[in-house]
Amino acid sequence: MTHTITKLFIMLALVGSTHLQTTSAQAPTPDLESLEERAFKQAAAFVNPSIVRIETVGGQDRVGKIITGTGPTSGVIVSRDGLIISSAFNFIGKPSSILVTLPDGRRFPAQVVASDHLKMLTLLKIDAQNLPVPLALQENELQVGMWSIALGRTFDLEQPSISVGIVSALGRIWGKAIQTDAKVSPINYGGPLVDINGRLMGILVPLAPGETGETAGVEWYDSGIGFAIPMQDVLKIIPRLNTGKDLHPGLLGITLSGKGDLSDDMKLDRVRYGSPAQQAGIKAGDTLTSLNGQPVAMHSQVKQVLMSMYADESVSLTVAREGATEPLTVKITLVEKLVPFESGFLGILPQRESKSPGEAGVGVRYVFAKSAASEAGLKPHDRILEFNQQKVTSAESLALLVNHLRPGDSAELLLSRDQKPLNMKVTLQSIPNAVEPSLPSQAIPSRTAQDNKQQKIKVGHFKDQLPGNEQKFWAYVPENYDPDFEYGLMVWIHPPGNTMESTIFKEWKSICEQRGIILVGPAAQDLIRWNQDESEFVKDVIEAMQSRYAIDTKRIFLASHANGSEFAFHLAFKYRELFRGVAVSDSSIKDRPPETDPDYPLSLYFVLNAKNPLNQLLQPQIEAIRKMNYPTVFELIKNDNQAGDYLEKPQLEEIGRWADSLDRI
Amino acid sequence: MIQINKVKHVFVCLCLLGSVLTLPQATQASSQSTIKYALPRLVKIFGAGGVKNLYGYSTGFLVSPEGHIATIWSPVLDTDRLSVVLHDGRKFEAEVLGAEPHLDLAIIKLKSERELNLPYFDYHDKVIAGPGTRILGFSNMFRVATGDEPVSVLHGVIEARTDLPRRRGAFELSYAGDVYVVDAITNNPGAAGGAILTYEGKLLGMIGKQVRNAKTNTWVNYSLPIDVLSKSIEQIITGKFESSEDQKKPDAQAPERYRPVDFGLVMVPDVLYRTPAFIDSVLPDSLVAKAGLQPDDLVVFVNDELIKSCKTLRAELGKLEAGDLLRLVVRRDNQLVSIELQVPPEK
Repeated sequence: MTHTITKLFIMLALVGSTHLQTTSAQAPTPDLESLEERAFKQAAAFVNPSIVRIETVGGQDRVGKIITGTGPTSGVIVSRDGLIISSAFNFIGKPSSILVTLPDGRRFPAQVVASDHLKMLTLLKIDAQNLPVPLALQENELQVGMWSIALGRTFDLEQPSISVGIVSALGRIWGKAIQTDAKVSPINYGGPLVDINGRLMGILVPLAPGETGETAGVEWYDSGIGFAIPMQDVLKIIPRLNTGKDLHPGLLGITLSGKGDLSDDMKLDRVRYGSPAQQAGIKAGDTLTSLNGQPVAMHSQVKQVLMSMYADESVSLTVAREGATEPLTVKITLVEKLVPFESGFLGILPQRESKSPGEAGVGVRYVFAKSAASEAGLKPHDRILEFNQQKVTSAESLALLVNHLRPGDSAELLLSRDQKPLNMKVTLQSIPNAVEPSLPSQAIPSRTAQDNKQQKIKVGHFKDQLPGNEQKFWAYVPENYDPDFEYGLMVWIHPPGNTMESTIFKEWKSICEQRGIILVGPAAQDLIRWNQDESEFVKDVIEAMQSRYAIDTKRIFLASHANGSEFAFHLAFKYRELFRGVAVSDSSIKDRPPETDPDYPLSLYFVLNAKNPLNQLLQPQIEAIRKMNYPTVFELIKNDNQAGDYLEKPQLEEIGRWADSLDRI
Repeated sequence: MIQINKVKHVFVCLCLLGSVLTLPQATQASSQSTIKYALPRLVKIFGAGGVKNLYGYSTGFLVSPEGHIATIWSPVLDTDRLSVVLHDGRKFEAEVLGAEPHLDLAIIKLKSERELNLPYFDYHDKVIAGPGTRILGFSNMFRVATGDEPVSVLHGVIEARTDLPRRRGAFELSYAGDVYVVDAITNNPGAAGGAILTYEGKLLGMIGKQVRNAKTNTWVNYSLPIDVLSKSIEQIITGKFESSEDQKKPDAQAPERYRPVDFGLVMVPDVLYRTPAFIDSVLPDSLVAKAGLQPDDLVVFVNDELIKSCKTLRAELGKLEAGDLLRLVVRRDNQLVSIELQVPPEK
């Protein structure tokens, strides 16, 4: 009512006079603008006693690309007995000492109680009593368009700094924050955002939609896009922070198919092994239909629910599964960290037996030195009949049991040695990141090329095409190939510009014969580059070889050199069910590998000429991959060869031994 | 704790009180009438520059009917062909009358054979405003106004009136007094020399250059307060100007009259960029030993200056003079301990 009158009055005044110093009103009525101005100042004065100045001593001068400011920052009192909430950004330099100054000038040393790594807040404690706790706005009182005043205490101890704007949006950054066009910057991070009555709307923090981390969103300072964590949310977490435990974003362990927030492909691309989702029975290929009872049809809706949740909080997940009539609903508790799975390792190579049925259990072909098996006393020619009281019928079934256990887990074996049963206890170890210095090759009864010719089995070095496809590939099948035994398959991905067919054939021929490996070399359509679309072709070639020859699925691996490696890794990560190993020379790895999965074990082999400048890049990559628990061999060779030259015999023989042990258990 | 209702009540009372106290003419002033009032008083200045980060243009505001203009002291003025364009497109040659580099202030005067009777700001009116006061910023930012267009207007509030800790180096500013920091992005290329006004039409200050705040490491939007500039404007116009620069002592090296050890303090080795000022040991029978300081105490304040590192401790102690009162605050475990002592004569 008053506002309308004021507005009318101003309009009349404007109509009546065009310049400043005319009309003097009978009864002076303040205009809306100056009323608002006074309200801003009143609001600031009202909340002023609860805004503290925070100063830090020591700490890093630089975090990432950001030079940490040395100036004071702000915080807000949240309890009468000395709890103060602030922005985590204010402590990124990990200061050695924190001091808090109250508006009345009293100073206190402060302790960090805990930090919230989701909403980027830090709770401090000072030893003081009867502090003024500000009034907080209720969640339903917040509205877009309301005045919002951002306050800080960096400039002046008596008066807070003031920036005025409006609430631009609610529920921003995946439901976490209020957005305001008041200027938010290091000047007021940690300070309050208040309404026109001086009641707390939230705590100012830097945030960015795309990234997480302490410094995310700082580059948006003073841009008119500022964020505050709603006060009601802050109040909810204070009791949890006050226990001294940091809060972390909660993780579920699922990846959706499709890319981008607007994607409506709700099929689960991956469910990480050992993650809360996997433990709750969610499987890759399920379609996500609702979260907490609310239907979800777009990636952004999923983020809106999950990205504002903490570890230890629960979400109910509903999925549709192919073949199931009823949708499946499970309640899942989120975790702070998804630990990469590491499979346990027994330390044997199984006997490769002819396809005709033979003895019970799995025969031991070889025992790795210093492995769990050798320490427990396993010997070649033993037969493993049972593993943890479960009957072992094949190498595959034994591998499945072992792969799903972790290093350090113990297991009981029932063996047969010299026809006598023998019980044995083993403690599994990690898969070694090295190749056995010597490995006897598996004895396969030798056949002659003549025998194969009679059976119309194509052996030797040949070129071929898939039916109905122009694209070519070459292959080498050892002359002594015996279709009763399974062979390994090396898929050679040539570097762009050179198929290296004759070199590879010449260098690998004897190793293939010795280790029982078939070689296949698909050629890129355009020799100078591999197109990612060609992965289908490579897969088709492998499947064609599998249908023509007896191939051991556990020993299909990719080999490449220099720039060809990029495509080799692309294939390995795309068709995880197909490949068990990747061996590359003179190359680094561009894409980060997916998480390990005991159902799709993958071994990596890198060999690099010490002169290759990639060395510096590769070393930390190897470390990161090993941390992800991929068994990774890394060999640095020092010889007179130039970087980029193909490998010499001893190195190739090592790769041969590595390939010959891909079916290790 | 205060009740909201009560606050509202008080608030209304204050508003009424405020309106009674304000001058009627100001009461009528709104942002719109202020804009109409101010635009003819702002000018666009074109001079030297135009390479790299040196803009060949800036802003100024009229401070006399005869064509005296207050503006920023910058390389733009360093030319024989300085031209000024009024809001209505009238173009004048101008000359630099005088400058106070210490305040970044210059006064230029329009060259005209006829008597000019231009609208102007009364710089004698030394209005001071506090945080939360609404402001309008007027400037030739980015030179978007050409010819007969008035300059651009921005709105915001005063964030603080404070002394501006400057970042030395690329933005050398000699001014060290109070400035208004505002929450509008006023400090743009070409905006320096513009004016900020209250909504009621009172001239508050002159928009400064583009500088970074060294403490927060952010760009800062500041203006030089008119109450600081007023005297120098008057002196330059009346020709009685004595630059404070002449009286200013050369910017000597920071004094190093005292070292921590002069008080009996042995600090931890200063090995980091910001080594916290921990006391390694206290010399027996020294001043600080008698005052009760102990090894492992962290010095956090010297006479109310925050001690961020061993370097700042040395700087602060170096400034002391014999006979000064030295107040040291240290953090011991989770407590602050304060001691006071008299600074001894220099050795």
